[in-house]
Amino acid sequence: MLKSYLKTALRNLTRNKIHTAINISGLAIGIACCLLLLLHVQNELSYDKFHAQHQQIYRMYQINRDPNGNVWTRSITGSAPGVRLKDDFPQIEAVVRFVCSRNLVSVGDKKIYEDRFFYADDPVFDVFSFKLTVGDPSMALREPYSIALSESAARKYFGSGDPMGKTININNRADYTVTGVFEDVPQRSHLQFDFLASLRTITSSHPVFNDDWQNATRTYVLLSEGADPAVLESAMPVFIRKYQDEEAAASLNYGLQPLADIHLNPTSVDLEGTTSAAKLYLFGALAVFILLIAVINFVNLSTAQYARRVGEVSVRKVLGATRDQIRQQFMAESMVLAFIASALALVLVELFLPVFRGMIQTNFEIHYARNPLALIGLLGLALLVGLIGGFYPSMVLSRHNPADILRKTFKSGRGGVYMRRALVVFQFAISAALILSVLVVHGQYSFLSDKDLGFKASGLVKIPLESSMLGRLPDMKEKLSVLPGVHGVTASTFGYDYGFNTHPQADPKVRHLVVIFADHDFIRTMGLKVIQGRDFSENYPGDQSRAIIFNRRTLDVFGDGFSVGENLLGYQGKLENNPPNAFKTVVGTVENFHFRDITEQGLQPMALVIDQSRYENLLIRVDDTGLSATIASIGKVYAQFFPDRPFEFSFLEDELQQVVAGELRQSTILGYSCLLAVFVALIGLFGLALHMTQQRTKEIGIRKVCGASSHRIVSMLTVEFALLVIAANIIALPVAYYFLSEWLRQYPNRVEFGATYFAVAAVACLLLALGTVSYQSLKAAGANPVDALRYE
Amino acid sequence: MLKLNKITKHYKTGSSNTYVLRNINLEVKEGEFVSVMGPSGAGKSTLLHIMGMLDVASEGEYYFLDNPVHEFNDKKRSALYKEHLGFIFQSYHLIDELTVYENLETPLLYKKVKSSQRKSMVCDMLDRFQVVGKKDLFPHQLSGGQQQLVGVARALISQPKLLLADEPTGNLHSSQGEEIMDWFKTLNDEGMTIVQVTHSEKNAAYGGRIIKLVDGWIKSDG
Ligand SMILES: Nc1ncnc2c1ncn2[C@@H]1O[C@H](COP(=O)(O)OP(=O)(O)OP(=O)(O)O)[C@@H](O)[C@H]1O
Ligand SMILES: [Mg+2]
Repeated sequence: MLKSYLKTALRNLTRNKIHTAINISGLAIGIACCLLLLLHVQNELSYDKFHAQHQQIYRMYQINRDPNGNVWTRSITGSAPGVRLKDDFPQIEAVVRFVCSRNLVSVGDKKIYEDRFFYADDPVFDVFSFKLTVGDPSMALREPYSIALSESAARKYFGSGDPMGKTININNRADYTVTGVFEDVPQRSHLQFDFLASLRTITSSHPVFNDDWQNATRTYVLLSEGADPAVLESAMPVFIRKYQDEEAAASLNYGLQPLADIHLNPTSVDLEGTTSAAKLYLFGALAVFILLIAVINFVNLSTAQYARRVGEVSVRKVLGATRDQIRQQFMAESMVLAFIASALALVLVELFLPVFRGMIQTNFEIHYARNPLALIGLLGLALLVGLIGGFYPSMVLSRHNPADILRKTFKSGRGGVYMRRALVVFQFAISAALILSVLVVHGQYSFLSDKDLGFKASGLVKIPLESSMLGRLPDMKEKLSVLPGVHGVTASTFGYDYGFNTHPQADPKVRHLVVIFADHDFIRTMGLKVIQGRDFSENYPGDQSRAIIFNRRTLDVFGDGFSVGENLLGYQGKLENNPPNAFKTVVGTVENFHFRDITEQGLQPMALVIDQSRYENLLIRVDDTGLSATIASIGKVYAQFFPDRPFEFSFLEDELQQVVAGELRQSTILGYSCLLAVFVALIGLFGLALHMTQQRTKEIGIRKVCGASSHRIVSMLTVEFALLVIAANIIALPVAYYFLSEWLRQYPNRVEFGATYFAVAAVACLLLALGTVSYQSLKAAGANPVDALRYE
Repeated sequence: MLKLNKITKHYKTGSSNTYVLRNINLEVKEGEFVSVMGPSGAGKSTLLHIMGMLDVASEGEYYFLDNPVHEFNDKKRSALYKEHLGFIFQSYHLIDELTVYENLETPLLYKKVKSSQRKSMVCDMLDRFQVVGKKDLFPHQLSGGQQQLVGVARALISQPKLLLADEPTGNLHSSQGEEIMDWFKTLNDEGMTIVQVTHSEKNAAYGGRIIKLVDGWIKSDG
């Protein structure tokens, strides 16, 4: 029986070559998208699970609470709790702290700034499953100034030689001894590093480091088997109070996040390589949409052939087939098609994997042999598609009463036509919504990249600084500022979150703002616009320790303490945890500017404060003309001051654009999805149009014989489809508008998407659909009517 | 063999009923060869479909081999049907995607006949109707007469007790039609019960009994 089903299925497929090609290609595209997505999700969910003990490892995150009741979390803790936890809690087997820092690594003549550089507590190789290929896991980082390298780093600095026992100089200051080489950190790790130095290097020379409750440390704990993290979490307030005064303890708490959860649930100030679950949902929705459109093609084209198949079904029933057997037959056909499509999908996945990797920016591999999910997923998708695609036709056809077809008067029913129209509307609704989304998302990103940052980003050269360089900074600034082609030099930090308390006595409200530590030249060099008060000034020596300058946004957000728009000049406040803890006085306000990145979610209140001990980078405003000469002379000055350090620089504008570029790359996924969805919908429409014109060949012939013009015939055939596509747009665009507005809401600066966007989306959709349909109808209209009638 | 008691068939057209069959009382005995005649639209096909259990009557009783078919549900009806009935159509209704061999095999597949047995049954039929040489051809590669021969062979392959034929020669040249009618005669002589619908007096004469149907009424029987 099954053999007979399969045989008829294959014969039916080869008989309708165009339908079959449309069905298979559409389904293959849909299945390939779903499979890629499925494997991508699997990859995303597998982060950090390669650690044998991952179920017992938790990252401690810090929960801050201000007196107003605002709560915010950060993935960074102080370095103090880590040293105390193990003694206080028996269920903690080990604690590993990581400190990331950018360091100058030199071996012989090789001097390179390395970002993938962590200091770690010595149990790191016992707790995590980073594999040491050379060296003793428990001993490697025991001693200060010991360091382990990844295999690639070892190759980079030592070639094929044995790095063990060799020395590496860090920051021109200290020699570290190589005590281990580990396998390169897998891509599926949220911790990414090539250098792992003993944290004792820091704690042995700065014992106070271990008493710090605020610094930038990442703390991971290994709980004993079966220990409940909730129990530990609930003990945290007591733990903190044991070491902190009441006020500090009240504002601080710690939570535990399972290691494997980190990748998809990043906490503020998280490491690279984290993503968000929302993005996965978006990808999922896109893949499902494409598959859905393909399945609709399948259903539509099957029901379009209904008239022909209903005859066959009646005959089969007369020959003794039961309803179940008819259903099975159509299911089998649907399955055959789905499985052929799946095989093709595998080929597509292989072809497009490199493109997809580029879009999602991860380097994931598919091992069908080693990954049962890949095969199960593929089979599952094939089965699912086969079931869905076969369900409707098999239901409708099996229900048919055989007596109907056996009458000479039989006419195929109209019922399928409405269903078909509804499904076409649905397909084009999705397509129209996707087209509009692509337009708006692209519009928003290009808007962002053209947007006024609040300062002139072009022509700003950025040189990274380190604390050891800060002593010579004033002299170097002076030298640099007199170079030809240089218009300004300023040292500053990136933005950091701080609490700001305006009236500690009267009103203990703490507000959050982003603080940029910057020198006197910052506003002038960046080209920020002062809107109230004044810039920092050498004429006011008190500025050094007491002045603070807000951005405009601060005025809006702090509005509950002051009245909105009120002049803040002269207000005083205390910047938390910023020794010497002095009161700061607002001396000016500047126009909003985007410093960290352009897409920043919601422009935040920002403040500028002078603090010479913290600067992290030097920004130099240079002329566009003679740029390379200017940079060469900057390099020369740099070498005079820091002969041991390689001169590294970047353009601030490029860095800002990179953030947009990352988002843009993500938006290409949307673009591709849109392209595929529209393509699959169009080939489906092509199939339907082909079918309809074939069905109406005789009618068209008669009309032509009766004198209808080709023009009339074309419009007769295309009007119906045009109406369907218009209906689809009417349904889809408002829905898409709603979601896109929601999406745009995250951007403080958003593109206006007005009537033109809708018009372009609707017209594009309509033109594509009509182009597809009119090919068929022009052919039909141009055919010799005599042929059509003879054919009958 | 079968007995119709006050069978009525009507369709709802708008608010009123259109009667196609009215108060049909009819008995067909085993071994009979009955021809149903009448003008177009008289309800002949409808009557045949009801007898063949492809359609159900609106009112009345239908006994087939003493089974009360009018009380049977879909499943039971089709089981009964599969066992005892063969159908032949004016437009042959072979399955286009299947070869002659496979067309003949299909009823056996639905009856779940074993593969080895199936093969010999199909070969017997091919042989009997002298279409062995055509067994791998598709229906469109055959002449109308050949197609109808395959249709007859397919109706007979499951060894039915009753053969129902709706204008079996309607689409055939007279010589081809005669061949089919000769087959019917032979089958009837072998004991097969046959009910055919025909417009041709000549074909009707092959059978022993002619039922005239006009406007859904039996006008004459005998
Ligand atoms: N589904 C239906 N709904 C309404 N009327 C129907 C339906 N099916 C058949 N009829 C009507 O029933 C009547 C009898 O049809 P039937 O096919 O039995 O006639 P017939 O005697 O076989 O005619 P012919 O010689 O042309 O084959 C016709 O008038 C037909 O229009
Ligand atoms: Mg008829």
